[in-house]
Parts: sequence; C-alpha cells; structure tokens
Amino acid sequence: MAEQIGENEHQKKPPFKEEGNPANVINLVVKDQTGNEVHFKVKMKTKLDKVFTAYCNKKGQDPSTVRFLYDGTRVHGHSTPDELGMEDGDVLDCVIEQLGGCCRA
Amino acid sequence: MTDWSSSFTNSCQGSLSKVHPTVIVSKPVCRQAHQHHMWLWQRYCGQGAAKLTKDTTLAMLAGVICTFPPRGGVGSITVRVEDLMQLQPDEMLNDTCIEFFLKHRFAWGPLFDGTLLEPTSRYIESRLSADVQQRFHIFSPFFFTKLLEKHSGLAGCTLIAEEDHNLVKRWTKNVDLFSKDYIVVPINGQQHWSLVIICHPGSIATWIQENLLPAVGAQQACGVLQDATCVKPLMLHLNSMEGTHDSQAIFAVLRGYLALEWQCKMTDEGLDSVPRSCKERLAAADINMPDFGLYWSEVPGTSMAERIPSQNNTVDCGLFLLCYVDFFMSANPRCVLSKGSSAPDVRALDPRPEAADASTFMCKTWFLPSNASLLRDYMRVRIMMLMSDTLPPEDKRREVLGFLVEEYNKKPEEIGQRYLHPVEYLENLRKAAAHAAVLDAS
Repeated sequence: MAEQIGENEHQKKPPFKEEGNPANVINLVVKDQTGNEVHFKVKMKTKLDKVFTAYCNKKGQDPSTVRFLYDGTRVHGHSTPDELGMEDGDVLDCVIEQLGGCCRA
Repeated sequence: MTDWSSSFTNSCQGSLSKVHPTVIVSKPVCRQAHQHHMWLWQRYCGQGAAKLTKDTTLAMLAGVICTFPPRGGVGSITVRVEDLMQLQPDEMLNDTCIEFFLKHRFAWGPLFDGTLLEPTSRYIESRLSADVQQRFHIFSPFFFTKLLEKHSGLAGCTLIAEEDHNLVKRWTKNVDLFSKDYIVVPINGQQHWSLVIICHPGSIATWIQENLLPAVGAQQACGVLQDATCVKPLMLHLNSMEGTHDSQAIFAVLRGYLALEWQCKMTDEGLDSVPRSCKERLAAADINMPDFGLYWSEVPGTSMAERIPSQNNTVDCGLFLLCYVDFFMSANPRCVLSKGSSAPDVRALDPRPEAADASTFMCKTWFLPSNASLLRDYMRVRIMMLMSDTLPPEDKRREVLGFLVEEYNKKPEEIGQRYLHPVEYLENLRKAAAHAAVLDAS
C-alpha cells in the first residue's frame, strides 16, 4: 500500500487529479535486500528524511544501520526528489551497514 | 555541568579511577565544567588518544556529524560519530568509512566533476589530477553485495543472470566502464573486506577484432600501447587475508557481470561506448556477431594475496583495501599485464616514479602493514577536523575534537608513526636510505 508523505499528509484531497498530475507528487519505491517493496507518494519538494523515517518505523529498522541508495549513490535525508531529478516509479535501494575486519570462511 | 560532560564523567569514571583513584575523589565537584573536562582529557589522553574507549568517546561526542565535501549535495557523504567509532582501535571498518576515504582521497562520485573542490582545500592533501581520475571507475562498497542479492552469498552463486544485472544496471547509466583502464570493486562478505581491480576491460574489443578481423594488425589494434601488444582484460584480487574470500568465485561473478554490461551498453543508443563501436566495426566488416559472453568467460583472474602486504590482526582488512587503492591509484601504472595465471606473473608497466618504486609495486614490500593500520588514525583525524568545523566555537565538543586532532599532529611524519600516502611514503623511504648511505660512508 502506498503511503503518502509530505505536507499534505492529512489532507483528504487525492494527489492525482483527473486533468493530470501537477507533477509535484511522485511514487517512490523503497526496496530492501530481500526484494520487499514499500511504496510512498512523495512531493517533489519533500525532504526524503520523511520517507526514510517512515520506512524505518514501518520495518522496525534502526535508521543508523541502513543506507538508502539511488542508482548506487547514497541519498541524504535532507535532499529532495526534485534535487535528485527523481521520476515517478523510481526505486530507492535500502541496504544494511556492511562491516569487515577479518573472518575466515 | 552540561549533559554531555556529566554522561562522559559517569561513563569513564570507572576506568579513570583505576588510573588515579584518589584524584577523582579529591577534586571538588563545583569545578568549572570546562576545566574539569580539560583536566580529564589531559589525564586520560596523556597516553595518547588511542587509549580512549569507544563508549567514552561516543558519550562525549554524541550527535556530531559531518558531511564531505562540506558543502553537501548529491554524492556527498555524511559521517556520524557512530561511524567515527568504527575507526577506533580494534574496530571493524564499515561502508561509510570506506566511502569516506575514497571520496576524500580521490574525489570520487557524481558530485566530483573536478571543479567543485579546490585542490588546495585543507581537507584534501593530495588529489590525483582529473585525467588520472578519468582512467578509474570506483564502485560503491554496496555494488558487489547488490549484484549477489538474489543469491545466498558468494558460495550460493553459480551464474550471474540478467535479473542480477538489472539490480545494478542503472548504477552505470552514464558511465562506459569499458572506456576505463581500471575498475575498482570493493568486496564485502562474511565480515571481511577485499578488493578487485579489473584492468583494461575495454581491451577485449581489440582481442575480439583481432580474432575476427585478421586484416587489422596487432600493431594498429593496440594503438598507443605499442610495446604492450598483448594488453588484455585482467582481474586482480587483492585480499589482505588469504583464505577468506574465494577469488575464483568472485572472478566468475564479475565475468558474468561484465558480459551482461557489455551486452547492455552495446544496445544503448544513448551513450557512445566501446561495446557499441566494437559492434559497429564488426557490422561494417559484415561479420556475424560473435558470442561476446564466451570472450568474457575467458578473462583471466589472479589472486595477488601471496605477493602483497597482508594484515597481521583480525580488524584491519578495510584499511588494507583502502591502502591498496591508494597505492595503486597514485602509482597509476600505464598498464598491467600477466604472462601466466599466478601472482608472480603479473607485471605493471611504468608506475609513476614519485608514487611507486617499480621493484616493490604490488609486492610484499609495497608498504608496511603498519602504514595500513595507521590509516585508522589518519581517517579519524580528517573526520574530526570536518566535524569540528560544523560546531559553533562555544561548543565543548569542538574543544574535545580539537584536542584529539592536536594530539595526532604531534606525531612525527615518519613511517610507522602516522599514515603516509604513497608519495610521502616513498620520499620517507628514500630519505632514510640516503641517510643510511651517508652513515655507511662515514
């Protein structure tokens, strides 16, 4: 189910109007490493922090142990879909912190 | 007393009182927070910042973050104090530490088009020039993991299929990997870091054309590399602990990836690429398209573990990975060739003389293991400088950071004392050799 994130969170007005999407709301998919997807409706000017927090709450993840990648590049919570040139249906990969010291296989 | 300093006092009182049991009791509690904390630090750091425990430092610096480059933006990296803690002695490096160093040293990533950061910026000591950087592609520490996502780790992976490639297809949407001389792939798995360098992936085009277009002489096909007529793709696995990551399994995965990436770029009309021009040349000569996958399946891979410096503890593999990258990229060899399939057969041509000694390049004496271990402190201090700059002057945490940086700066710039990047390292070695020669003569 798509969750709506943004300033109009509590408004009943649907984000997509019949006469066409005003192009300020897009669908974003957050995909984890098992292939599970969570869908979000996000305003172009909304900080992605909101998406990350909502995702972590939903999944019960500790935000400090996950990273969000967009086309392989890390995404910061303070950036917006607009800044990143995101399009409707784009996927964000959620990956878990990687550690390494040495461990014999 | 502010929150952070009281929590710091609580968290470290136990260990402090072991050092100086009487002092803690005799000091009046009303002492000014500032003096108190400086006193704690002087007492505690007297033996060097490295002695601070993770919990103590974490409590003191709670909530501090920094961004590199400081101006932020797409492709910048945020380092939290928790990540900084992964650089404490005996801790394992995480992906953020790896990415931070790669961006810091090589200005790597979409943000870094070579113009945004002043080369003289106090955050960057020695940056490679843009044309050198052009020769390399550095993958994210998550690339290899993502590629194997649908498999249960490296052991469970037999074949890289299109659906695996699709997971990382967009990561290179604007890059033609085959136009690069070297592709740097950090590998993480089973709590271990290692490194693969794919050399000259694009030279497969020459190989294919030589096979199919006999009219093209080897001389002409090899272009600039006249004396190295047999430049071929080659994969090197640089692992600081042999027997951890399975080199052959990694090579198999990367061969599969490269074959699919080749196929993908060959049909990508939006980007001029080596695969596309290879296809066009074959089409112009009226030759049926060969099975490119077959060529890729024959790309050799060599495990270098036996001939390069290796870790002598169980925590430093991430630092070795970064050290290999630093020493390889700075040396910027013209090409890497192999006569056979074992590590001693690998030969690098013309490494930059100021950054590499051709006789020790990629050998056991490439750098001392202690140089890699010291990279821990080097990175920690760079991050602390960045963090300190984000804090207002009156913030006590700034003082703490400043103190730790100062402690580090007292160390002499010598091998075994602090991390030296390749150019400094070599200078230091040569100076020491000259000094020894003078002593011998007298």
